[in-house]
Amino acid sequence: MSSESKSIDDKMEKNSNEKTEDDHIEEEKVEELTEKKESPWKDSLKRKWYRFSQNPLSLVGLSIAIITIFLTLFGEYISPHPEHAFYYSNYQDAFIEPFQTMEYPFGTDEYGRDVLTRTIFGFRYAMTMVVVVLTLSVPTGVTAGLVAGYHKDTWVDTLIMRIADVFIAVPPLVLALSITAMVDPGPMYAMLAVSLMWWTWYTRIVYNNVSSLVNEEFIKSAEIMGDSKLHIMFSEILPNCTGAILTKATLDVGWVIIVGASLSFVGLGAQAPTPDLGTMVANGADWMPGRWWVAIFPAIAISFIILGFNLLGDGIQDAFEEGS
Amino acid sequence: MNIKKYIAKRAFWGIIALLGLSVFIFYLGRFIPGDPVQMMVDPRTPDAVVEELRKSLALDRPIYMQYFIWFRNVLQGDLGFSIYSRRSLTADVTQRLPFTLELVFYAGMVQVVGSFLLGVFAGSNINKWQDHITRVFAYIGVSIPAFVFAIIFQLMFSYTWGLFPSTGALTEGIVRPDGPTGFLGIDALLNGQIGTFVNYVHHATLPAFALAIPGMAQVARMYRSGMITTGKKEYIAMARGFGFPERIVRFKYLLRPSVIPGLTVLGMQIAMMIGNAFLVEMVFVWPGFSRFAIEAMLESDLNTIVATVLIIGLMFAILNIIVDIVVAYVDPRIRYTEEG
Amino acid sequence: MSKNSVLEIEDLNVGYNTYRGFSDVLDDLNLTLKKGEKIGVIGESGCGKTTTMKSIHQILSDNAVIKSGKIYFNGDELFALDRSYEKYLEKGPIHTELQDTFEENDLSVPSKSKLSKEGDSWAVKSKGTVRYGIYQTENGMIIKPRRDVLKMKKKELMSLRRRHVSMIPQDPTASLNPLYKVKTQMKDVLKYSGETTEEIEDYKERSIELFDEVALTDPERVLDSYPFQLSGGMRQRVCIAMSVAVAKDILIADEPTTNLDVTIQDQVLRLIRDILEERDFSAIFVSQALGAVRKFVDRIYVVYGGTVVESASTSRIFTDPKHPYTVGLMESIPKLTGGGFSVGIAGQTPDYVDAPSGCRFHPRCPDAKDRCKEEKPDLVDLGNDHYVACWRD
Repeated sequence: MSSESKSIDDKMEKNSNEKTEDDHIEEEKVEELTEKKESPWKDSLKRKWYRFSQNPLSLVGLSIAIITIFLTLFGEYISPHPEHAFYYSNYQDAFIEPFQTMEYPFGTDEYGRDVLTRTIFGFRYAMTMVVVVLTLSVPTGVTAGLVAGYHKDTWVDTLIMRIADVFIAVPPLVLALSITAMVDPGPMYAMLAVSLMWWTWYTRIVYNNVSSLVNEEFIKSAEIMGDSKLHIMFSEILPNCTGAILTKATLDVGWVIIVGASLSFVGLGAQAPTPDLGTMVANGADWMPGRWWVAIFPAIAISFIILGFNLLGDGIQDAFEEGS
Repeated sequence: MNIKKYIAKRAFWGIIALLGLSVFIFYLGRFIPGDPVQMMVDPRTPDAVVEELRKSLALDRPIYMQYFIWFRNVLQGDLGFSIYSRRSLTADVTQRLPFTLELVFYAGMVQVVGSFLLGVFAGSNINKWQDHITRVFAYIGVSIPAFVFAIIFQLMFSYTWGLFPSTGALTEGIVRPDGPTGFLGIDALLNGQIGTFVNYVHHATLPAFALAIPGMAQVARMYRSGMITTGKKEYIAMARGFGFPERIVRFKYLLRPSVIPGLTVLGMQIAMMIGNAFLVEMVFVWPGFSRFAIEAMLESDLNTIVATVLIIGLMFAILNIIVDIVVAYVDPRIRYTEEG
Repeated sequence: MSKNSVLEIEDLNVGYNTYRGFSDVLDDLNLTLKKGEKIGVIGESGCGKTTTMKSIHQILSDNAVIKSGKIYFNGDELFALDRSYEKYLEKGPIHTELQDTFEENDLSVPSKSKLSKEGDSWAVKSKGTVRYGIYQTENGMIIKPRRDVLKMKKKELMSLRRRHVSMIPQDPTASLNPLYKVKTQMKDVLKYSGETTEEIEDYKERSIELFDEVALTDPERVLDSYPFQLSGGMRQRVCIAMSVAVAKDILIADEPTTNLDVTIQDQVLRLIRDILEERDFSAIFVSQALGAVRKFVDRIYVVYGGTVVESASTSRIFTDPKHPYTVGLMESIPKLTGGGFSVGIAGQTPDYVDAPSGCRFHPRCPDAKDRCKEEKPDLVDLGNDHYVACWRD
C-alpha cells in the first residue's frame, strides 16, 4: 500500500512531463462529473417550481388566476346574456332572485339585466385596469429604482427618490381620488392617476435591492471589464431583483383591483352603465339589504380575483425565497 | 446616529415631499376646465360682480401667485373657501376631522392588537390547525376590500341581527359633550358622560372593524412569515443549544426579529386605512372629514381637494415617522447604520 | 462500549428533505470520544461533519431526518461496587440486590429493568432504553449513566445541553442574535447553563472574567455592544466565552476559524488550544484542514461522504495514512520544503441526493476496483487502534 502513496516530488515530475494515462483517466472522470450538471437556469427554475408546488394554496391561486384570465379574454363568448352588459332594460324581469331559474342564476338587477353576465364582463374591466397600470408603472418604477440605486448617493439618487417620496406622501387611494376628482371622472383618468403613483413602490424595492448589491464583487468586476452601466444595471443587477418584483406585481393585481373598485364605488371610476365591478357594488348597495344579490355577487367576484392573485403572489414569494 | 437626528431627518424630508405634492396638486387643479367662480354663484349674477369676486379670491392672478397666497393663508390657518359647503373650509375641517381621527384611531388599535395576536398565534403553531385557520382568515381578510366588508357588516350585524347601529356616530337624543378638545369621544370621557362614550363606541365599532380587518390580516401574515424565517436562523439553533428554555427561545430570541417586517407593513396598512376611511365613512354615514371630502370632490371643489391632500398627507407622514421610530427601537441595526 | 468513553456515535444515518429529493448525508457514521480525549474530525465541506455535531445535542434543522443510529452519552461515574457484585451480572431481569444498590444511591431503576451485555460491559435497560452502563475495573465495577441522545425527552435533552455539551459555532455572526446586546445574551447563557440551582450573583462580573480569558480587550465595551458592532474575531471570542462559561463534559468546536480572517485564525486557534488545556473538556475539533488540528488533538477521524473512512492517533495519521482519501489530503498540504503547488484530489464532492454506490469515494479513488462500487467497506482494525474502511488490503 505504501508504494501507492507518492510524494509531492514524484507528482511534480509527472506534471512537468507529458500526460500519462492516469491523467487521462482523471480528466475523463472530471468531464463526466461536470457534464451531469444541468444549466443553472433550468435548475433554478425547477427548484422554484418545486417550492411553489409544495404549497397547495399556491396552486389554488394559480388556478384562480388562470380562470380570471380566461374569463377576461373569453368572457363575452360564454356569458349567457352578453347583450345585458351595458344598456338594456327589461323592467318586467327586474329583481329576479338568484338561484331560481337557469336563465338568471345570479338574479337580475333593477334594469332586469343578468347579474352573472355583468359580473363576468366586470372581470374584463378589472383586469384591463390592472394591465394598464402595471404596464405603465412596473417598467418605469423598476428603471427608476435601478438608476437611483446604481448612482447611490449622487444627485441622481436624491432626485429620483425625492420625486418618489412626493407620490408616496399620501395613501394611493387618496391621491387617485384627488386626481380623478379634478379631471373628468372615468376609467381612463382613473387608471392614469393610479399609475402615476404606483411606480414608486417598485422604485423603492429595486432601490433597496440595488444599493445592497452595488458594492458586491461581481458588480465591481463587471465595471472593471468595461461593461456599460446600462448593461450592468439590466443584466447583472436586475435578475437579482426578479423575485421581489414578480411577487409584488402579482400581489399588486389585488391592490390595483381594490383601488379601482374603490374609485368606482365612490363614483370616480367607470360610470354606469359600464359593468365595472366596483360600480356594480356601489349601485347594488342602494338596494341592500332586501335585494342583496345585486351587490354581493360582484363583491364576491372582486374578492375571488384578489384572493387568487394573493395566493399566487405568496406562492411566488415562497418559491423565490432562498435558504433551507 | 441617535434617534433624534433620525426623526428630524425624516420629518424634514417628509415636509419637503408634502410641499412638492401640494404644488403638484395645486397646479393640476388649475388646469381643469370650467370657471370656479361661475360655479360658485348664481348664473344670473352680473359680470361685474363676478369679476369682483374673482379679484377678491385672487383668481385673476398668475398661478404661482395664487399658490403663494394660498400657502400663506394655510400657514395662518385659513384653508380657503369651499364651494361645496359655501363656507370656510377651516370650519369644516375643525368640525369633521376629529370624527375621522377617532375612527381611524379606534381601527388602528384593533389592527395593531389583532394582527399581533393572530400572527403570533399562527407563527407559534406552524402547520397545526391554529395556523391553518388563521391563514384562511388572513387570506379572506386581505382579499376583500374594505368597502365590501363595510357593506357586509352593515348587512349582517346591523340590518339582519340588529347588534349594531347602521349609520351615524350617535343615536338621536344622546347628550353631546361641550367639551374642551372638540373630539367627541375624548370630551365625553373628560366630562364624565360615560353613556355618551359607550354609545359613540358602539356606533364606531362596525366601521372601525371594517377598516381594520384587511390590514390586520396582511400584517398577521407578515408576522407569521417573519417567525418562519427567523426560526430557520442559526442563532435560534444556538439558543436551543445553550439549553435555554423553549419559552425564552420563542418569546425573547425568536419574536423580536420576526416582527420587524411586520411592523413596517403595519405602517403601510394604517396608511391604507386612512385612504379607506373615505369609503367606510360613506357606507356608514359617519360624520367624518373623509365623507365630506368625497362629496366635495364629486363637486370638483378645488380647495377641498388640495386641503384634503395636505391634511391626509400630514397625517400619513406623522404616522410613518411613528412607525419608523418603533422599528428603530426594536431593531438597533437601523439606528446605528443610518450614518450620515 | 468502553469504560472511558464519554460519547459513542453508532451507525448514525441522517439526511435532509430538500427540493431535489432526500439528501442522504450520514451513512452509518461511527465515532467514539473518550473522557479527556481531544479528537479531530476532518473532512471537506458538506461531508456531514456539522450534521453530526448538531445531532449530538439535537439542534438539527426542521427538515432533517434521523433515519437510524444511536448517540450514547456516558456521564461520569455515579458510584462503584466491589467484586462481590459480579455474580449478579447476568443477562436478563435485573437482580433485586443490584436494584437495591441503585436505590441506595438515589438512582431510579424500574423493576422490570434488564441487564444486557455489550462487548465487555453491561447495560441496564428499562422499557427498551438504556439507562446505565456497568463497567468492570481492576477493583470491581463502576456505574455510569448511559443514555441515547436520540431517545431523550425534552427535559433530559435540555439538561444535556446545559450541563454536558457545548459548541463553538462555525459562523459567529449568524450565531449571535443581532437584536440584543452581548450582555443580555451572556446573561442568558450564564443563567441557563450548568446547574440551575447555582445562582450566579453578578452576571456582569462573571462575563468580564470570561472575556478576559478569551483575550477580549475592553470587556465592558464588548458587553454593551450589539454583535454587528464587533469584528468577526471578537464575535467568535464571545461565542467561545459562551461555550466555556460553565464546565461541561464535551466541547465541540465546529470549524471555529473558517469564517475569520486569515490573520485572526491563528490567534483564535491558539486561544482554543489554551482553553482546552486548562479545562477538563473532552473535545471534538472539526476542521477541513488536517494541519489545523495537528497540534491540538490526540486522535483524528477522517470523514468522507458521510462516513468515517479512517481513524487513528494523530501521529499515525500523519506518518502512515492508509485510506486513499487521507493520502490525498496529506498530499494536498503545501510543503514549505518546496516542490511547487499541491495537486488536490480529482473529482467533486458527492451528490447526496444521488450518492455513489458502495464506497462513496470510489469515483475519485485512484485505486478503485469493482468491489468498491458494489460494497461499502466496513471499518477494519489494523492494530494499534488504527481503523480504515477500504477494500484495498
